[in-house]
Amino acid sequence: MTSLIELSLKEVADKLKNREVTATEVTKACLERIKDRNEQINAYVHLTEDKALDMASQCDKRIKEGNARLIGGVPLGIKDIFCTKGDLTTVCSHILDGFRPPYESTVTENLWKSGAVMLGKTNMDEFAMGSSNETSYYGPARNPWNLDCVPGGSSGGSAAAVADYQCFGATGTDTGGSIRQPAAFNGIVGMKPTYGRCSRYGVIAFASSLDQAGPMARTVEDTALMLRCMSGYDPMDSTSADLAIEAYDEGLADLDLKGLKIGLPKEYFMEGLDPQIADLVKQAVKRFEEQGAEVKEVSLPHTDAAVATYYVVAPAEAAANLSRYDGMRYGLRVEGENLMDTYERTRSEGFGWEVKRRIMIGNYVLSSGYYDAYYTKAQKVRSLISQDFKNAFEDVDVIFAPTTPTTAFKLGENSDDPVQMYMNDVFTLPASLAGLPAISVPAGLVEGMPAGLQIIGKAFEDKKVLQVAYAHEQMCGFELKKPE
Amino acid sequence: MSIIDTKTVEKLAKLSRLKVTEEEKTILVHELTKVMDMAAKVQSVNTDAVQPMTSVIENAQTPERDDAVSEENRREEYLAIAPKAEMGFYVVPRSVE
Repeated sequence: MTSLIELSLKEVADKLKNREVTATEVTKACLERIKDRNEQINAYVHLTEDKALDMASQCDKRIKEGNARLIGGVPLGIKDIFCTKGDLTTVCSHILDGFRPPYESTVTENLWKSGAVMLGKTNMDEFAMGSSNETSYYGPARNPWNLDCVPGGSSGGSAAAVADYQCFGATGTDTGGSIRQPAAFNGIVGMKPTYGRCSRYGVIAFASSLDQAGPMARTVEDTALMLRCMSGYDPMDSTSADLAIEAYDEGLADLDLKGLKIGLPKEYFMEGLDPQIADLVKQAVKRFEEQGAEVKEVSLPHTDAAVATYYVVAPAEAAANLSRYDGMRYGLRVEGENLMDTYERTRSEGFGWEVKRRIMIGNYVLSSGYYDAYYTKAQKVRSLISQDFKNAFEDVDVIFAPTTPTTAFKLGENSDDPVQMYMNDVFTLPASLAGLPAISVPAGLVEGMPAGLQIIGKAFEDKKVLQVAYAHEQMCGFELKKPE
Repeated sequence: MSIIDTKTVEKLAKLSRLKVTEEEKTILVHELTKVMDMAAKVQSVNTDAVQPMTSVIENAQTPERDDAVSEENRREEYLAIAPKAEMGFYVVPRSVE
């Protein structure tokens, strides 16, 4: 018999609506699983057990009264970057020790309005700066497929929690790949929606022109349903798109694959890409071809400058955003001899190494004498990267690519060399820089570890991206490892 | 190509309001050089007549809301999460001698 925790988000939501199970039962099952597994996986950094049970009992009451909501009673993990009122929210950084925000992020607010239950805050790279979860102040989460491997990052805790059946879905944020890369590493689905789909209000800022929240779940349908519940225009975020919320989860199978034009960017099949991952992508493409899709090679000529562009733009924005951590109004304060000394001690003790390094890089590229040579220049290259996609999308509907060059690597393997670590994001950064919707969906296994297929779409064609991902999922037949 | 030496690191640390030890300075010279060598790749791209992109949102797409007060006064709640507060104010180190 399939245990409760193995159900998909959609299945459990239906069972809750039909009153086959109660939210309290489902929530308790997840909490039990978390307690059983957290010591090994370290996916959750702050559990909110009382809140979860309280929210679940409220859901049960509503369902009994016939007021079931879209995902009423479904327990979720929330990345530690989303402010939830009164709960510890620390971006896995020492500098936000004890921080309990007095307000709620719009994304989580939307999820609660849809009836979701919060289990706790999930592990992440400090301030979302990392691709392995190793920069977390609370120690790394681990990959449930192999505990010696990283779960990826920055939304590594969310991905591991979903893959390890410790929740039915989890929120993530993606600045340069932080949803897609961990989704690929853990054999789950993760989507970065079009920039502007989900409000950034109450999401602790890293690089504001790139940060975008998105769903992570075990199936495409679950991902679509979660996105429907998270997204929407928010007057509190001036970059949020004033468009109606779509029922992303409806009509996923309605897309006619005959005549669908798929682009394969030639620059993505490069040195450093594991040939077995390239094969999995090509197999996926072949299945679409067999259904009548047209496949075309496209060129994104500025791909090889994307990593450099990102590592100028993102640290510059981060240096500005993180200047607010001064030890005066919230979080950590380390008293010094005077005001300046207090600032410096607080920030030096509060931030981890990767964060400090990025702040310094950001201040370097923004400092006089280097501003034009690096920052303005990178913004110009960003225009070209964005234009590359516009050109490619004149010929094709969606672009297929690998999500990552390799499968999950071992803990500690890349931590000595920042540049090597940054190269993990080589396939996810371009879509981030262009603000496009992109999903990672399992493509198969390479030596026992999952790899992801990335599907990139035109701006605000999130639904089409989900439909194509759904078609892939049906044809691929990937199976997540069952819980032990 | 820019050269990152100990002096540059000291200046960046100051700008970033960070303290760095002598040992950390050596590591940072090495690591920042490595990152900036990689980032220098942007300089090899021809960007003649290309406008810098500050946002993916096309011009004039950002909606504006009325400039109206939307929050009630929650001073006590905000002060309660401060490292130090007294008599309705944040307490900060002396900044004027």
